[in-house]
Amino acid sequence: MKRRLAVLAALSTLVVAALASTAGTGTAATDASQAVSCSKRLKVAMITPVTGGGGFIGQEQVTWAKFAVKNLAKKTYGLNVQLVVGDTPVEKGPGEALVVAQKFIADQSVVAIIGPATSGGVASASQALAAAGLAHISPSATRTSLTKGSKLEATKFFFRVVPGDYIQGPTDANYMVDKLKADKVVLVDFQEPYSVGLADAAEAVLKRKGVSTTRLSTSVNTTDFSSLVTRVPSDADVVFFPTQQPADAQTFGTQMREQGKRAVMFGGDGANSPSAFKIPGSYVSNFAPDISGIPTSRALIAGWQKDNPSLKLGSFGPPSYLAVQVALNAIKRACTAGKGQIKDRKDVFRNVKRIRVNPSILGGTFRFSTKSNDPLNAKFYIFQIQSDGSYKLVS
Amino acid sequence: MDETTPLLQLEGINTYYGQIHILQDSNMVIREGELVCLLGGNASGKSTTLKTILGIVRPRTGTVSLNGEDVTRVPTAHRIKRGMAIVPENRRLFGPMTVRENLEMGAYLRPKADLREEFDRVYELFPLLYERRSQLAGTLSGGEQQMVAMGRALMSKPKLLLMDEPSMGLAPVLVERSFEIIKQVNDAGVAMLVVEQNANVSLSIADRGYVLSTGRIVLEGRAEDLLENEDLRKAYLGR
Amino acid sequence: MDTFVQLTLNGLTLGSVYALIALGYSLVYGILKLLNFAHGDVFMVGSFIGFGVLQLLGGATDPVLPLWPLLIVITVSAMAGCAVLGVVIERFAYRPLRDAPRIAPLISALGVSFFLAYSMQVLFGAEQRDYDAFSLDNGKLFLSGFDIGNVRVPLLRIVIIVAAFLLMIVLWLLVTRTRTGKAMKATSYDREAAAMMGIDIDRVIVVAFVLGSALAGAAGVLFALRAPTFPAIGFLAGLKGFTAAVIGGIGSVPGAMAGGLILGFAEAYTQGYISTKWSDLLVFVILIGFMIFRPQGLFGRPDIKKV
Repeated sequence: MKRRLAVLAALSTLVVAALASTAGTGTAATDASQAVSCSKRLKVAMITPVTGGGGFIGQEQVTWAKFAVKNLAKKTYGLNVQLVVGDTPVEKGPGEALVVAQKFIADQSVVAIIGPATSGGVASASQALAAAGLAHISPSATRTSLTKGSKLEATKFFFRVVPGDYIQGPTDANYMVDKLKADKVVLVDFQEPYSVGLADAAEAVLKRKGVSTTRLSTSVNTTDFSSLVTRVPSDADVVFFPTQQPADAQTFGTQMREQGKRAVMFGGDGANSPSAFKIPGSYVSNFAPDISGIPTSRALIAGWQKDNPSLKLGSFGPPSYLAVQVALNAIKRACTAGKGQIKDRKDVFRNVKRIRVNPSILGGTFRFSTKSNDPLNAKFYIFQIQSDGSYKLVS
Repeated sequence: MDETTPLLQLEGINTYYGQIHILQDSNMVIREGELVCLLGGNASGKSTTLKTILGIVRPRTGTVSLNGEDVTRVPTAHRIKRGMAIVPENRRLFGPMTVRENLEMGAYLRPKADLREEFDRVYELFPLLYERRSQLAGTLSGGEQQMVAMGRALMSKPKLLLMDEPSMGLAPVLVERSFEIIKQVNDAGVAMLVVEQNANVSLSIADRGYVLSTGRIVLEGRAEDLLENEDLRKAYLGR
Repeated sequence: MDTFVQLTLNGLTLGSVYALIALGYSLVYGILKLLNFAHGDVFMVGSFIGFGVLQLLGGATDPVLPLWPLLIVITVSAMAGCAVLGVVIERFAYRPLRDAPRIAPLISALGVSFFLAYSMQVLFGAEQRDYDAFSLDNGKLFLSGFDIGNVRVPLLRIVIIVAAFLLMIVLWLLVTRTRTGKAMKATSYDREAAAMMGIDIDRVIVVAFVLGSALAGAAGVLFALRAPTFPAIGFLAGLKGFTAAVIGGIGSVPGAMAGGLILGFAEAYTQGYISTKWSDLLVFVILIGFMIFRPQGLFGRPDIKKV
């Protein structure tokens, strides 16, 4: 009995510790806005994971955001702007975005936010940012419910320059049906909003098109998927695997080969990482195209490459250029309207929705939809992994 | 009096459990080959004396010496290494281990090469243990367990053997047998400290004795003198 | 039938890793009556040491050693590294609290657990690390092997299961046949009596940490050969090892082995036949169930103290 008590005591200690580590930080009070002069140095703050499992996304985004500030702020808009970066490792949970946001809210020279990069980060920080009147423009948060539906998870101060999963899920599903001729699809989710939302969206379309679907669900902490793989029918054509950890997609694919399953892996934007997910013949979707084929973007790519000679062009970065471009443009308009000063950070916000960019680095003209703070006519892009490990745009 | 270095010497020992003063200025000497008994009732400080000798309890003041070497700060295992062994109160056998393994633990500090010889010696003294060698110690009867405990202590070939209440929980006939063995072991040259409540039996075989009462040594002397001591008889032997 | 064979194989692979972790829990608990919650993180560190050594030796795509020596070097380095880590943890986190109330070393254990997880995260980042064992010898570990019916038993699974069982047998022999092993058993039964035999308790405790941590290190490598590792993995791995130890009867060496396998099978069959969703929950349910209805586990003896 004594031992049982001791063990129970130990367990409850554990539980308390676990709870304490996940507990969020409360919302902070917001300071009243005060006027900032446009001739002084203004700050644009970026909220993205620079370290941790999602670090590869944030690092790529930061290079493009920096390049945009350098390329546009002085020359095009005549502004003195500094880019500051707040790191939100995905392992610290979405609440970290709020912690970082509060730091930026307190700094009156921050007049616009690029990010938060993850949908969870947007959901946790949007209220506080809105209360401070700060527009936040994400280059990568794709969760549908941030801008659409009856239970909005973000405020009207949130914008995104890439389309949401309401497009990604159906785009992926349509590709499976139309191009891969899939009859049987297995969908795996990780019991967190990103993958569940994406799997739901894809599954709905697949079902409507008469495809037989199997849904599997596991936790984000699982990394050995053997028994999930065992449940993949041997005649399944595609496994849709919307993970946020590209190494998971690699493992699942490897374990399918091990068990002789022939289904093709299909990941979402979260699996899009050529260094970690490299099983030839697999597919990944992304919210941005490979911009190397867009003639009007060539000069920008060259300029970015000059600043980052050791990096390879990816598809996560360029939307950050666009997001910064939108933000700078809105700041400029606010400054003009305010006769050389921004009286309230809301003035920047009011201008964001009016911005048009032509040509956009992502191709064509960029503008926001009138119905929601999403880009108009945006689409998702699908890549196939080649035998040399490179990602080739196929749709 | 014998003037050689004593095997064991306690000098001015004061021991506390928290605020409570247990042993008060204890002095004790055991010389080579002696059979000494330590008498006392419940809570008189007998166990604490043993624990102090073993190093399970550290005295606040005073020194414990083995062969003239101050071991007051030396941990239990290293004191055992200096030629001491104990048959603890309630035997404290390793229940889920066999008789043989229990004996082997007794010889933990002996070189492996000597093990055979030690086993033979103990089995000769307790032939029953040989028969029971593969049984789990926890399944033996009280008398058999007492034999294992003694055998286990002897496996280390000690110069000084401590015995904590060897008669406790044993039938009278077994008590007698126990003390015969104690005498026998002592005759073979092993010095012994026998801690007992049963004063008559232990004094009858001992060379000398100490009597503890509420943490103080109130009497000491040759065993036959103690047996004759009027105070002791009245207060303690109860006749 | 094929599904059953495949799931059994999955369970056996996972279970042998869990058993290795559980052994460390049981060894330490048996002697110190301490739940070493940092044990799962030692497993994690082991998997990272393996990863680091593999990269030093050229990585999976271009290793400087042939396959078998490579695997042995990786595993042995992880075992050695973890053994040292175990000794350090014992020396600085537990030994100073040896005589403190039991809750103190428990809190210290949690502290060590967080310390290891977060320092690994700070030092090496939180992202998943993939050994990429598929690239070793062109997928030999995954693609060669033998078949049971239609189920392929890949070489890597054989390696993992055989290595785990070999280690368990070695441990079993160490614990039951050597004098130090017997001294461990004696110490776990009655520490004070063991000291009275001249057994150096500090040394026995260190040996328990060395053995347990080395096994955790090996488990870390065996696990990470098949699935990515990351700094936060230690918590769940530790929980599973702990559950396995509780199932078998914490403190019991054969119990830990059986408990690990039982847990592995339970997880595989649940994922395969019932729901992939519930398998982690199942671990907690089993843990709580055993705590309430059979706290001594399958192999443990009830906690009766003789008076």
